[in-house]
Amino acid sequence: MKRPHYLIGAMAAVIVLAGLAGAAVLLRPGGGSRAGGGVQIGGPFALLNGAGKTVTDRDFHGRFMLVYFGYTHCPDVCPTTLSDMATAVDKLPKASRARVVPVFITVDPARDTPAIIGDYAQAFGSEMVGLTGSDAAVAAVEAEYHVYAAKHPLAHGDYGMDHSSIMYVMGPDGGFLGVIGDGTKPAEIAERLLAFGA
Amino acid sequence: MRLVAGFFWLAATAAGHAAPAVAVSDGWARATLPHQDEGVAYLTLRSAGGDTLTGVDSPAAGMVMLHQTTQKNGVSSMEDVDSLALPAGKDVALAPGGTHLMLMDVKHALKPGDTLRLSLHFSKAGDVSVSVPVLPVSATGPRK
Repeated sequence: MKRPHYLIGAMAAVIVLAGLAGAAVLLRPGGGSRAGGGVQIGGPFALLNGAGKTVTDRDFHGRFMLVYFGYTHCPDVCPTTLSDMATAVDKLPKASRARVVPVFITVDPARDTPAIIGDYAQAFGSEMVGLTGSDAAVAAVEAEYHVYAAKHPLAHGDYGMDHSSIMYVMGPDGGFLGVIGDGTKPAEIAERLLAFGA
Repeated sequence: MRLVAGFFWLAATAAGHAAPAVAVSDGWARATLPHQDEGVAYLTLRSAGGDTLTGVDSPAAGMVMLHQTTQKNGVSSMEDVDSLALPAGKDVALAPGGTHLMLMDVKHALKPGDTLRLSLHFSKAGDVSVSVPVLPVSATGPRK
């Protein structure tokens, strides 16, 4: 699979690190927003949910998205982060909880079919939405979010995916609000969501 | 030695002689979904005199690899680890986001409530067999 976004990914990683270090992120209203380096994060997408139905960014407008990119054959960091996301959303006050959708987007569409990503996301509860799509559709959303993803060969001809491991917070208008690093405790994720206005 | 939850810690038998034992605690495996042929297990090891974990087998998996999750510039990756040194008297924790036992070619889906048998190979203590509980896919630690 071609992933022509390595440079952008590296830039995004720098921006993300800056964000984690507490650097100010300049917010702009509207779909997608510019972060400190003038880089747009987020934007329109058309992907498939667990039922194989097309879901676009507009379907989430009016709610906050807590977005994580990963893959279901990822045994360690993905389930840990997704579990933290689900726990965090469950910790929110009821009204806020209804406004936040945890979203898991695969970086491995070759293996993560709609049914697989749907079942997997559902296993974490909190009405987590799992999304996949064609290689092109997934590559497009990765590019918009400046996600780095690349195959990494493992024993037995198997492969893992190296991937950006960051939670993105998107506002009700689809605009980028900020990032939360993986490894952040659920209570702190919940606090950050509330601070973003959820 | 740390208090071990006895209900899952079945046995830690050194291979038939008075080899220095390795204490195994806080073991657990994450449930897998039917399509998943990879799984993961975590545990904490402690050797009084120092030892090295050189390999792991499980009847439930074609192969068990020692893997380390690494993070660089916000990108998560997995690296193979050949062996794991156990400094004398120190807990070495295999835990989410760090070193883990990656189960390849899992033969049957691991369901919450199942137990997973692991055979740990140490250079001094020999083979140590343990059984660890399978916890839900959303578990992040042994006590959830």
